[in-house]
Amino acid sequence: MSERIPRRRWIKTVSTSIPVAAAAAAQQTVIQAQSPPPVPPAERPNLEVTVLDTVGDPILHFFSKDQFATLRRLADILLPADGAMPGAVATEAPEFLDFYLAQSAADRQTRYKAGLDRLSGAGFANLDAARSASLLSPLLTAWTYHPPTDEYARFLREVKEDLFRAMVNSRQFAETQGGRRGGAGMNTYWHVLD
Amino acid sequence: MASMKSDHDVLIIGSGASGGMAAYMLAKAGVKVLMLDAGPSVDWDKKRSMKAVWDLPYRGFNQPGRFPHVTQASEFDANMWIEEEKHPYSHPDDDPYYWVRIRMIGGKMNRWGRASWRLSNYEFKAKDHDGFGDNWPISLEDIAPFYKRVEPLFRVSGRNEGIPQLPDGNLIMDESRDSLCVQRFIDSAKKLGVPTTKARRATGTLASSLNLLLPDALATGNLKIVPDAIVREITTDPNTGLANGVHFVDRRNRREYNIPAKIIVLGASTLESTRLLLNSKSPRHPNGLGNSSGVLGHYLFDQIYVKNTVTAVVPEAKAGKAPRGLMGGGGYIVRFRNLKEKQAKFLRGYTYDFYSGHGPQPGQISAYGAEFYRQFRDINGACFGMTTMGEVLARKENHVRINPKLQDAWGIPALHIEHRYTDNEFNMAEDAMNMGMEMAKGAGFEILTAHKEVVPPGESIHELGTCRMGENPKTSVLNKWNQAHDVKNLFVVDGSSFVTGGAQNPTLTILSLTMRASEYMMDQKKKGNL
Ligand SMILES: Cc1cc2nc3c(=O)[nH]c(=O)nc-3n(C[C@H](O)[C@H](O)[C@H](O)COP(=O)(O)OP(=O)(O)OC[C@H]3O[C@@H](n4cnc5c(N)ncnc54)[C@H](O)[C@@H]3O)c2cc1C
Repeated sequence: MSERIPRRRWIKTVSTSIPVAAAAAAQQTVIQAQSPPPVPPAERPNLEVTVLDTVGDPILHFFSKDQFATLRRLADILLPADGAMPGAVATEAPEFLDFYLAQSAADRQTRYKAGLDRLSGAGFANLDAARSASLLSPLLTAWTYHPPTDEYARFLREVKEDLFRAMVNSRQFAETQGGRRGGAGMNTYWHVLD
Repeated sequence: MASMKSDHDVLIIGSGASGGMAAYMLAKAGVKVLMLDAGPSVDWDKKRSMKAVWDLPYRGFNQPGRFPHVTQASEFDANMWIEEEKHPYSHPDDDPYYWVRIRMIGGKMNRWGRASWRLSNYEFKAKDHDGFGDNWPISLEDIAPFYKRVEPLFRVSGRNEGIPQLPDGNLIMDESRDSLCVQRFIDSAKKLGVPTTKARRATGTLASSLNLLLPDALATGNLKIVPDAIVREITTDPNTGLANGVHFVDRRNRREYNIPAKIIVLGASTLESTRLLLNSKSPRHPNGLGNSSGVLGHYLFDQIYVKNTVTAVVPEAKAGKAPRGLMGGGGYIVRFRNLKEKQAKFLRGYTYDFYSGHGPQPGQISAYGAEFYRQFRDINGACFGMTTMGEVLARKENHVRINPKLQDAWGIPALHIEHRYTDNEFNMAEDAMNMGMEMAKGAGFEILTAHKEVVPPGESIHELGTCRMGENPKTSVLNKWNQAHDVKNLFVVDGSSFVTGGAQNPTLTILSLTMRASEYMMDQKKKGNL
């Protein structure tokens, strides 16, 4: 996986979105303003933890070796790295799709596998730009509301949109957005209610 | 009847827009109210926090298959919606129905978009206008005084235009200036005789029963709210046929309870209220409570949505070169069809929301690789979009009934829903696409994509009818005060009471009808008629 961008140490704090130092400062203010009892720090520690996919390599379950290699090649062609912006491969979008497709509806699974097999059967990994362009030509047809009726064309449209989403929703991509709130995909999360 | 543990005068089922407004009106007037809601009471501070999309288990894709019918659910708010497998319903295989539900104190308003439009006499007296269907038993003049009181309560902002198909409101005036692209679009619409206005919206980030109605009602000391109480049946007195209590079940442990009631206000949302009435059969009410007419469950309708009917590009904003003030903001196109002229292919009319300054969807760009990025960046921030909302005709054949083979996780019989759109709706959608393109082109925009595909029934989340009001007890369930013709101490105050719905979002009308029904109820109580 040589295309990966260098990994940073991704850290988050448990149980609060306020940075640790700010939270500690806020607690002190409360302690000064009100009378004791102060909360002993050990009873509410904010442990630093590390995001799991920054330490482990995902184990692939769904695609065959050949299909996955084709998906990575496709990801690199459809959404390559661009300047400082990591592409679909560096954001591990293919690895995410292996995980996601393993749980998806059966028709989608079949379409993905058949689409990748078709590309692989045509020697996609080793084709020059012109030959691979002809295999990807359905992606140049004009947008329609409904997905194409041809299953291969539909696969191409789905894989492009899925890779795009997996790319822009990735941690690696967020990092290149300079921590911008919208760019980094921050939003209000609803925890389980019960 | 069990002993009276609670000394309430009125029992309300549901805490959303309708139930919340009834509680607000009644409790403030000194009436003792007990409210049962099927959902939990949620601590908004503890149950929500900021997260990054990459920190979600499915990178923002949502767990596959979790919400087959709720396209609005995202992975961020997935836990807010009902779990579909616990709350099943059926529909014909080839006619999907997307029933979108939230069960928690405050109801769906906890998530609503706050668009707040009045209906006009083009809706209340629709039959007089074009001969189709039925009129409401009330007119704009009957409900206008209540709209006037509800709008400030919900701090609705917008602009009055003095046009009959969109009655003026008691609004916080929106004097904001339109961006240049919006001005160009408005001018183009005007040339085609199409009226526009500012969005009309309740202000504040929430503007819900939860923060604007229930706290004031609780502060009177006259309201008790009981979460996690799923009402499975309204019981009746076998001698009088009047409602005399409810059976409910604890959502968390399925323990069963009953409670007596003198007056019942039902606001469990359009289809849940009708389901509860259909499930409340007795010898006096063999076809469901209040259903001597046989129309309970019938005349289901909503509004068609054609999402992003037109996406256009403002040429001067391409390549990030938009001058200051060109892009941003949006507005609303008011109904303009079938007012004075008559369309050959469809009755009634449609509206649009329009918006600007966004980017394309990746699928809208027919390219990949470097060329995809080039085209994407070229029009990012330069797009102008329109979504169509159109009236759906209320037809008797569109209906819900109890599916005897299907129950929810609490053993309560579930609904079978049959709702089909007809050529009237499809022709309307086609007209909306063509008009949308014409207006966008007239403004000098380039069309990126256009379509006329209507989302499945239900997806607009504006399901209405099935317990409609009317003058005639043989063709309607409720009278003009939202009171059941057959059961005088039962009021159904949610969207199920609607006779027509226009293309306007319905909640402002639900709130106003409930306010009106609540005052009538108190008046009748004072007079000893209840
Ligand atoms: C994403 C979204 C956007 C929307 N945007 C708009 C908009 O911009 N403008 C607009 O006008 N409308 C909008 N709506 C629709 C609006 O939210 C509804 O019209 C409104 O909430 C309906 O109010 P209600 O009281 O009828 O039902 P609800 O708000 O659904 O409340 C019903 C309550 O009854 C409870 N209940 C159900 N069954 C039972 C039972 N058997 N026993 C006890 N309690 C029960 C539920 O738990 C719920 O709390 C939107 C809705 C959504 C979800």
